[in-house]
Amino acid sequence: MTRPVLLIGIGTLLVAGTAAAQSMHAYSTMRQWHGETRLTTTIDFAAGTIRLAPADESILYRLTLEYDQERFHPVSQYVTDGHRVTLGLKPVGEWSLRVPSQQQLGQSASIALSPVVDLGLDATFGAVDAELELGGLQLTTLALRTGASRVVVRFSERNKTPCRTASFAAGAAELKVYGLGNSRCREVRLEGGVGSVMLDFTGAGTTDSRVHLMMAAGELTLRLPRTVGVRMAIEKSLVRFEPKGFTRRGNEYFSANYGRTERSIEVELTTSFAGLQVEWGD
Amino acid sequence: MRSHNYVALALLPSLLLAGPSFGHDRVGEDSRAFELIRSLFRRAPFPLAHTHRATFAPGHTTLVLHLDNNSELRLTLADGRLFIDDDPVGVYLPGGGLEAAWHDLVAEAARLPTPAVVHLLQTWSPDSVPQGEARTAKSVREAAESVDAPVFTTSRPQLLDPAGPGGFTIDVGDLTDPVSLEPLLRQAARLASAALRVSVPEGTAYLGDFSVGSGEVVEGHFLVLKGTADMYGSLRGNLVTVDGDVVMHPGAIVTGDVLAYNGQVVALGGEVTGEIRTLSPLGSPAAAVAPDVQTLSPLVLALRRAAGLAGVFFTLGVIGFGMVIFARHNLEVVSDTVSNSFGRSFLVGLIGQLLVLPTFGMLVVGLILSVVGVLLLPFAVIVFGLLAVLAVLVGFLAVAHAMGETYTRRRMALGATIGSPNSYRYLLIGLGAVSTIWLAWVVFGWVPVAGQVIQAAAILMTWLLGTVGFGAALLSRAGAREQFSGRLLPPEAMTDEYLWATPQYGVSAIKRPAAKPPKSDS
Repeated sequence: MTRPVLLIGIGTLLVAGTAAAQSMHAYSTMRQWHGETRLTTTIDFAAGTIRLAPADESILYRLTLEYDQERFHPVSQYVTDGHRVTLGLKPVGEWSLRVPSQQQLGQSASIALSPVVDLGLDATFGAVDAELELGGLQLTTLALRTGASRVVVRFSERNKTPCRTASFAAGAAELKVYGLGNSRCREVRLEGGVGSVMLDFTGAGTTDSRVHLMMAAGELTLRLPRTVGVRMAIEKSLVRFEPKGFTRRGNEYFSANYGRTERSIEVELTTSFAGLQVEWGD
Repeated sequence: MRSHNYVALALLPSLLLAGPSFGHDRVGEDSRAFELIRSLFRRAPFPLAHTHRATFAPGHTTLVLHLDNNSELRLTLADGRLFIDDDPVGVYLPGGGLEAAWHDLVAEAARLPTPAVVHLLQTWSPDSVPQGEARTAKSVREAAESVDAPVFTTSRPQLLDPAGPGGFTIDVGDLTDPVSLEPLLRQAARLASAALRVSVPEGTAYLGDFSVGSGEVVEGHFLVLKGTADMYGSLRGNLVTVDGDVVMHPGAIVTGDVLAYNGQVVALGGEVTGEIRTLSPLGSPAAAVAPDVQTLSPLVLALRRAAGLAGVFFTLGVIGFGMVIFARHNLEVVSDTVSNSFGRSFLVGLIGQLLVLPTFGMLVVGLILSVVGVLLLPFAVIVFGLLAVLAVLVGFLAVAHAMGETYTRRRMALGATIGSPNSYRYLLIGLGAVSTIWLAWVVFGWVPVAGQVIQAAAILMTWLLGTVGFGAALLSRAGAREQFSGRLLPPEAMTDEYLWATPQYGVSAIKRPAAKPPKSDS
């Protein structure tokens, strides 16, 4: 009796297992560069892995996707008037609370953006593993919002144009930003949730930076270049902060070389429960 | 002989489940069922070669197949050796028969479509070559056999006549959302033949290879089915290929958008002022698009759901057996709580569900407000989550246990001989009973309206049982609070043996030794 029942079960499992539908699709879209001077890019990516890097000079933008067509819909809309493009992957149907499946996390996107146009970049990520290489672009503004994501942003090369603002909003995320010194951003903003954030201000830039940080209950690490003068104004509660290399005056902390360097960083930090660390780099 | 019976039994579910779908199109459904069974024994799909490149250079001749998993298969003959992906795997005599045959093959590959090249490689067997070179050729064949090719059937180039009013129409004037266009393109690919009539508003449909010559200027949108679009001249409109590539040659201009469905856009030069898009299903041969959920047959749908149900049953069974082995006492106490206090368990379970999130919030806030608590927060969150899941799981299994126990005891009370009435049996019977509710949905879930009603009923019943189990687990503190299950009866009356083996009524009950009266203090 037991054996037939077992075999019936195995048979059912095998037969139905092969009947599983395959809904993964490959999608790509690109636009050649036809002399445009600026591009406002909005990226909205719900779940999966995403990579972003500079494109060839002949390309204005390119998106390559592998996605689950049952649950997601690729987005690529270009508005010629104003040179605005929206790229990404949005959920199909109404908004609902969903735990991404393994297949959705297997989704991937690769985006390449022109290095010869003034670029405004506004990216929103859901449950995403993201690596963004923004070095070598002409980035004028950057806004990055992340949900339950792991995001690494790099400015491996110097930004080709001064950047007004780089703002980051990290939820339950792990966010690491390397080489903000190369970004040439005059203002850096961070709203951190309960995740871990690392901001690395090293790089070859000479632009003074104002940094506004609000961190709720996560872990914040600031990597500061030794050659730059730093002033930190901190409003904190329930946080112990005794950074090395700083002199304290009230709620303000000054690096030893503050006021005597070509480049300076002014940090305003508000936090309640966040762990705060400062590292010195070159 | 017996084993054949078992195999037949193993396939029985598929035949039984096929029942509802057999009807007006018996032959089609039969072949689909056999295709399904055949798919059991089919090998895993190999990567598809979508393009290839042939290279002649001093000292080496190379053929590269570009695969859809972003890798490539590189076959090179150089310096008397065959390299596959840069690994030496065979030898040949420079200037010999194998090298000459390889040169012929690569030259042929330069003008053939990729599927034909894959086929050439898979059947490549040069004549009159020494044994060592024959082994090298075999290595090439074996490497090529690990690759599939799209089964494009390039048709004789021809213009397709437009369909009549209300006929098959594909509007390729707006390509901003190719996904919404995909069903139509897929349909067109399936129907593609010289007899197909399809209308393209402000455009033209072609079957087979299509080209715009150098210096030529054409107007309107073009839909090319099962063919490559070679662009040398100018097109003022959109261009769409289905099961074929778009090749932009130097000097070509397309002033609209380009879409290759199930194909590639090969940019050798030229200019596209609009968007260049590609879209294709992954993991299936290019011409055979897998059905999506909405178009699954009732048989396949039922089989998928049956597999899911079997998986859940198996998983719960394994967890339940583990509990019987390692925490039998707790399981039995929760199970007794379900049996003896069903209504209270349900109420407690209901209230517990409502209070889970507020409790969690209070816990988090409480911990955050204390310095030590902040450190404990991550652990507390994990532990809270685990406890909640554990309570639901243990409760649900306890309900199954209680159902099985009740059923077994009743049968025994009616005189049935049960081989071994134990917790394993109770669990299996209980889980089987719960699965039966869902089995109805598995079999009849495809029926319009009734399917949804059955599904709703199954969800409701499962939620009810889960709530009762959750409540029982809370009441009995996951089986640690033993006395609860006996709160309405004296402790000795709570044993299974007492309740089920001791007659409560009739002659036997009268002859039963009377319980000792409680001692009076006076």
